[in-house]
Amino acid sequence: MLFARYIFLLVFAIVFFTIETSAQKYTISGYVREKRTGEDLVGANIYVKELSKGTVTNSYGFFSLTLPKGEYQLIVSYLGYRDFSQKIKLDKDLKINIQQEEAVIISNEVVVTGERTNKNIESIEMSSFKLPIEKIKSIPAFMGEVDILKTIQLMPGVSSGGEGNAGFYVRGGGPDQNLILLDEAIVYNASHLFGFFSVFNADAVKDVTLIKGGMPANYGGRLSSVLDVTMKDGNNQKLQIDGGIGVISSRLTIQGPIKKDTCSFIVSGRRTYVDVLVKPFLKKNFQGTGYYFYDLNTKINYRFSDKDRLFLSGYFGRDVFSYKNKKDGFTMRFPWGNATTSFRWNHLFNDKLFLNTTATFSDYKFEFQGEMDDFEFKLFSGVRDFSLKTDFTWIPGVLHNVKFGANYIYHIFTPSSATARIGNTDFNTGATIRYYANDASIYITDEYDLSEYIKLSAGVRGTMFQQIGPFTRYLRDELGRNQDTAYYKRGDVLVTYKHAEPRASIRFVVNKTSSIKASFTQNYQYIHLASMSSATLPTDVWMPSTQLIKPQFATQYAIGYFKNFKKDMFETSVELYYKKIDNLIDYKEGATSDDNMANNPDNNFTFGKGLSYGAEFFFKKRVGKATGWVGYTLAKTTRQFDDVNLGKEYPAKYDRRHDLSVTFTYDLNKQWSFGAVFIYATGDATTLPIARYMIEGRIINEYGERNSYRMAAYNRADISATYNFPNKNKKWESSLNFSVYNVYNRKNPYMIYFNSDVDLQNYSIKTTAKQISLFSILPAITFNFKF
Amino acid sequence: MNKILTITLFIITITMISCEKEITIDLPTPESKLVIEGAIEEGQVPWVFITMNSPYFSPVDSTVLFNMIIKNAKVSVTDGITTDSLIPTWDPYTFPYYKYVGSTIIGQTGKTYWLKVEVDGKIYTASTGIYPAVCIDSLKFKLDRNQDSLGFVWLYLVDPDTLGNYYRIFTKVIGRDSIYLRPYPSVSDDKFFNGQFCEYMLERGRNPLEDNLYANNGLDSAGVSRFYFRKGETVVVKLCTIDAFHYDFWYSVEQQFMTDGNPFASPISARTNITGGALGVWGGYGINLDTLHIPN
Repeated sequence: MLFARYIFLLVFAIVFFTIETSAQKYTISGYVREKRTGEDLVGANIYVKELSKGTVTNSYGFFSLTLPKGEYQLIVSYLGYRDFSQKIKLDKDLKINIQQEEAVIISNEVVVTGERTNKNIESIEMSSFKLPIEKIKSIPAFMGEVDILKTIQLMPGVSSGGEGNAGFYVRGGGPDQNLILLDEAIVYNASHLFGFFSVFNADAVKDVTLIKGGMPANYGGRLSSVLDVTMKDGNNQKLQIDGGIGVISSRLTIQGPIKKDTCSFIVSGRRTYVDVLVKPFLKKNFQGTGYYFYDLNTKINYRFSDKDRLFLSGYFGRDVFSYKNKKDGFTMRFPWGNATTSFRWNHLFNDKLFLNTTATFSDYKFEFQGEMDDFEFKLFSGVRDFSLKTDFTWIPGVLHNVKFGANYIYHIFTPSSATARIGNTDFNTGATIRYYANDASIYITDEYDLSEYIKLSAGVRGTMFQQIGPFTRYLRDELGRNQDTAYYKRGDVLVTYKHAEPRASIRFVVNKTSSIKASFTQNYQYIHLASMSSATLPTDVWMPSTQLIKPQFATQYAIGYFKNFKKDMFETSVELYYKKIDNLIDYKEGATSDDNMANNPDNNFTFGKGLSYGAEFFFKKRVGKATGWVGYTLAKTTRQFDDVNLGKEYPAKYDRRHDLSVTFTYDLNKQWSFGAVFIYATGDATTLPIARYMIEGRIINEYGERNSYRMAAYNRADISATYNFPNKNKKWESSLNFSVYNVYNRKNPYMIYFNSDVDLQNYSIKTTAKQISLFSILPAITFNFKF
Repeated sequence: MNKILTITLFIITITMISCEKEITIDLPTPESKLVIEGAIEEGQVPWVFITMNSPYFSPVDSTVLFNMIIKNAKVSVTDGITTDSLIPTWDPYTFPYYKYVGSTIIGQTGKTYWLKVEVDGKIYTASTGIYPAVCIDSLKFKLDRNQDSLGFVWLYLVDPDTLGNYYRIFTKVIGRDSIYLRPYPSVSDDKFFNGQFCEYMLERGRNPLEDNLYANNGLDSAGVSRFYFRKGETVVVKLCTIDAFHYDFWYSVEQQFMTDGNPFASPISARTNITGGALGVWGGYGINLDTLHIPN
């Protein structure tokens, strides 16, 4: 078996290469934490000056370095924090816990020394970004709501689906190809209000990492990207309350120690009140409409010792839309949302071996209940996961960083289950069809410093996916008529997929300020989002791989050049990528997903291929009063389905030839800071009618080639200003944030529709095209406080 | 149903925040295609309309409209034994008026009918069957909410026990409608209610030739919806059985009506059961008629 061979080779290589020369070596290990709150700092740099070598802390703030006996200068840095520097004498194994202090703003001079290293040059990671939440908060936000998803869409290679679409598209991949993790639990739908806001409450988030290429083997299950969101652990020094009052929502976060330095908690909530505010202004026919969403994040952690620590975190969020009109006799209500829970145990076997075991539960559901006169309709769809995962980090020496582990997920999918009744007729929509699946994987990966110049990372992930019973399979002919039925009992295996996913990257340091990196990855994805529409909506349905739906498969190649200028003040990079995807799914033309009557939802799909390639340019100024970045992507993304567009290749809806974003923040003084964003992107590809004909005296449209028409380009600028009230007593901090969305009031196209005036008696048909835009200029104000 | 839901979400969102403007659009010139619309009903002679498609934005006036009608086609229908040549006639009640009509073949249940159309040397063919009629169990008039004389007709039927029955429905108000009009939606298949007693709510269909009598929202000058039936009217309901390909055409047409202009739905081109590169449909209808007199 291919996978076994990969594993063997890799293990052999690791063992072989880790037997290093027998010079006396000692290990220095520990945690890096924030001084004020005791939060672990993820991805902090630990740098050994004498050796020009270093490492970074893992997701739990842990690091380990094994070095030859000697005296060293250890420098620890983290963006926005003061560098920590200490001389150490290494003649035995050492444990140190480092406390980083926030950089302080002194008079009018802003001193931000952190991350003033050439980490982007030295590290092997490419095609990835890490955003501390403070950075995200300084960027102008829509309606004053700080939004992680909107911010990552400002990075090259990541495109947004436009307004009213929370899905993001990484290097030509679909919105279902992003692995979105919140404290290691999968989030299936990351948006509120049909995509206008994300589910991540910025007050509860510590850190965000996006990987769009060169995905290491410890991540899997999705083709295009990983968005890893870490929640704050809670201040373990003192009780802290943060809050905000905005135009459409309010937030409140409480965190503090239960036992100082040992046990802390955080509870963070958010609710919108747009429904309350808008109600009096609603037009008559919309009275009775209600909409709100809320989020609740909680986390508690307990540190038994530096060797053992437990975390329990949870997220719960719901969107509720309702409509009630007594006059029409029409009521409906649809709630949807996610719930996730993760329970984690960190254990340090010794100063070189770190273990993290995670049990998670994820649930996403969408419900709809509607009633009108004699008609009643109910719909449910959802997905539920139970997962157990164990990850080891083994740091045998300064040259190696080995990760290995295993994961098992039990999935329950309910693609759609509907019941309907008209008068006294109960529509037989068939029994609820559920899909059950086993999803298991193992991986091993090693980062290895081959020489002073070359660093290698190689890994392999073995994945296995099974659709299991109970299940009833309906076999149909091409007109959708039932031909045969197959029944499977509980535990029966319907189909098994097994694959090996090799991953490799290499970094070559040209000199202190530049490097070249390349990566190769192959991924399989066993779950699919079937979307009736081209936007990401809560009505979209998650499906597992089945007998009919083969797993999606992607191969990606990327190469990049990284260069820093002016003592690492400016960071630049150019990356080229080429990505091929097989077994993409889409609904057959004209299919509806509503009924389970002698049918399986996966009978309605058609399968195809995707291709995307492009160049990404990135320029960033990261220190000083003025900071910001410019990202530009030149790319092409196409799709090809045998049953769509007569089998001809066509542009994906979000194929953006050009995609530019400029982000700028400026700290004027202690009181004032400013932010601005500018975005320009090629217009959406869309399908328009090109001809028409008459049947029964009515116009029928004939559509042109799929996505052959381009809407006008998207462009927009937002600005914001934050005023920090002078804090006389140190305890209370507060600020006012003003923002303006779409400053120059650009009418960006959201959709195009046609209006035909037909008057057959006077033999005239007149057609006009109309463009709908969503947001005009929108100012907002938010008050934030902390004590 | 998911589609309806999607559209509902969409309308709500859009109406709350959007703004719109008129734009101009450059579209490529489409391929010119023949459009065939024909049917054979149980007990009736076959008929066919033949027209051309036209570019989407081209302005249409009477000259353009009449140039779209094909008058030189050779049209024939056969049941395998008899062949009937269809002759052009003028039908004042149905657009585009110029209608090819048969004379010797009369539609019979259980038979298959082949259509052949020849225009400028090119041949287009199609076939359809007439399926046994399904009887209307009963008809009933129900007032609409908050109305004292306007409402809808409810149709009750017992679906045969075999899966794969496809229906299309028409109505005609005596003295008010010149032709049978189809409600929306007009087609249905029995996969949801196979073998059951079931009911349909029917609105009065829309006659495109009377569009100028009504405002865009379907209201007449007195503010009454064109889709209502009224007390005192006599309504004939025609319940037709159709074959699967015939159903597929009308289903795709009605899907298009529903998804047109919805940015969340992929656009649906109407399918066809005609071979040779033409658009349109050739369909057979098994017929059951019933009449409802709505008392005052």
